Order: sequence, then C-alpha cells, then structure tokens
Amino acid sequence: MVVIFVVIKGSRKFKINKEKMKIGDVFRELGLNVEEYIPVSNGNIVTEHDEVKDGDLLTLYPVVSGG
Amino acid sequence: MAKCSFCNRRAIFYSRVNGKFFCEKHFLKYFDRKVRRTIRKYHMFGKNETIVVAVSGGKDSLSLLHYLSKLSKRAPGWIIKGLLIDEGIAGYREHLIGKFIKTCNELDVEYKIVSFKEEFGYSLDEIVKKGKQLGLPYLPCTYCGVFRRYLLNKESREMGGTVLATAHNLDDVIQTFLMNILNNNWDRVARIGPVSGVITHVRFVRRVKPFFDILEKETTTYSILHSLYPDKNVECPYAPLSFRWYIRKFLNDLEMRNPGIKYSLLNSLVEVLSLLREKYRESDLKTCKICGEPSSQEVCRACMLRRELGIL
Repeated sequence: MVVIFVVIKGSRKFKINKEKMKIGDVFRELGLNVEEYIPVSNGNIVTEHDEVKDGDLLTLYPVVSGG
Repeated sequence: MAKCSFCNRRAIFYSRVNGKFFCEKHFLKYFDRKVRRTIRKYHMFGKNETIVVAVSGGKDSLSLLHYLSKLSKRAPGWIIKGLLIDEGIAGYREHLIGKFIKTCNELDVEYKIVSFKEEFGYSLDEIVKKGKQLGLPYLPCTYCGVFRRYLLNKESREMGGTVLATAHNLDDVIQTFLMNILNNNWDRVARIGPVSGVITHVRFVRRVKPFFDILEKETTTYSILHSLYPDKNVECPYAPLSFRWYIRKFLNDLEMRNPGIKYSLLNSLVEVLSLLREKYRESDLKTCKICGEPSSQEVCRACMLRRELGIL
C-alpha cells in the first residue's frame, strides 16, 4: 500500500491510499488534467510516468494562472 | 524513474507531442533553441535595442525577463528593462510586485512600476465598480486590457524602449485566436501575430512575443527551475468571469485527448495571418485628439472608455 500527500499549490490538499501507482494515476484519481499542472515530488520536478513512493509529498504547480 | 531521451539523466519534462523525455539540461537547451528560433524567424530584435519587458509579476513574464536578461549577456548592444503595471486589484497584484522587484535586483535590471490609480485617478476595482453603477456593458478584462496596453506603450516609450516584449505564450495566442474566430473578429486575428508589424507612428513602440512558440506548460517548468514561480499562486479574481477562462479549459481538455492540437492551431494561425494581412493592412496610426497617443480612431479606446466612465 502506498500513501501519498498531494498539495495543489495555493489551494487544496489530498491524501491518497492506493496500490502501486504513477504520477499520471494521481492526476486521474483527482480528476485533474496533466496539461494544467507541473508535478513536483519532494522538491524535484517529475513526469507523469514516474512512480510514486510511500510517504511522498507531491505538489502540483498550476500552469494556468493570472487573468 | 523516467529517463532523458538524450542522455539517460532523470527526466523532468515529458512532451506528449513527440513522446520525448527531457532532463533539466536538455529541457533548458530545447527551451532556449525554440525561443531563439522565434526571435530570429520574426526578426524581433536588432543589434542595438532597449528591450522593455512587460512584467505582471507572474511566472511567464518573470521567465521572459530572466531569459532575455541572460540572453543579453551574449548581445552587447541590448539593454533590458522591466515594466510592471499595477491595475489595483485588491489581494492580487501586491503579492507579485515584491517578486518582480526581487528578480530585477537579482538580475541587475532597471525597472519601473506604474499604477492605474496614479495615472487615471482610479484603481481597476474602483473602475469596475463605477462601470457597474453606470450600467456599462464591459467585463473587467476589457478595462484592464485597454488601459494596460495604453500604459505599456506610453511608459515603455518614456523608458527609452525601442521594443516592448510581452510574455504571451502559445496558449495565450491560440486562446485569443479561437476567441476572435468565435466572435467573427478577423481584423483582430490579423493583429495577434508574433510581431506588431510595421507601424510608423512616432509614439508607437514595436511589440514582440518571444514566447509565441512556447507552451504555457514549458514556461511554468522554466519558472520552477529558476525559482520564479510565485510563492502564492493567487488567481486574478476577475479571471473566471472572462470568456478566455472557458476557452482555456476547452483547449487543455482537447490537448489532453489529442496531443499536438495546440501546435496545429498555432500553425493554422500563422498560415491565415499572411492571408489576413493582405485584407487588413495595418494603416498608419492616427493620433488621439484627446491624449496624443497612437490610435486607430480619432479618439483612442482608453480615452473613449474614460469618457464613458466619466473620469476623463
């Protein structure tokens, strides 16, 4: 079982418990579009193909901003 | 761990368009090559230029300021300056101004901050309120866009700018393209190219978009890599009211299902621009008879709006 914490910078927080998963699965789990966020795991930018590890803190940086 | 398609290092960026992975080094190389190609292709800058970068304090414009400042080290005839327009939106712009000043100081770039309040006597919040009370039909983005463009031209000229660089990226450009198609505004489509064209008015500063071919996802990655991403990601409170908001969401959903559709739309724009420029030739600009700034009509849009708002 993998437990990770996800923060969307500047707004919501989530906790996800799941079997083995990739960053792309986290997006699907939360109903988010991979085109709209840059995932940063424990301080490093990662891609949708990277796997998440137990205890990871994933911060999603919104691509869309401003007006 | 996903690896770079070029060197086997840890990947930080994946292009869903061509299936390639990029490590930090190769991503920055790719980014630099794309921007330089755009600058060259559209003859954006000459050997000697004072480039005023229009900065909102957000990730895209800070990235452009950072990128051009670094590039100027290889172009001895270039001077880079930063210009920020503070519209006066409570709880929004003030977060970004500090980051702008800090970045300018770190890059050793001269800057200027101009506000709607000091220039027009009213902040955007006050203007929006006034417009509502008067029953004017405009969205906040109309006032903001018109007054901001007016000030960017006037102030960059007063800063000695020979060219004004804005951080409009590929996403911004195709959103504007689609919005104008849906509104049947082809004359406006003719004006959204990467350079403003040859306009000879003595008070008009040429405008260029060096990020014309760069996805917003790529400017965001560049900003995170250089610690330029705002500490507080505060959205403009007026943004969800705009037509652009829906178009942006629609295009992002489309891109997720059909990777590459954004580039296709940009290419469609480039294709149609050459045809439209024949039909909507940029005539010499007139001079606004109220403020003396360049205008396509007898009175510029900023003065027209100010007149309607009763603040002229």
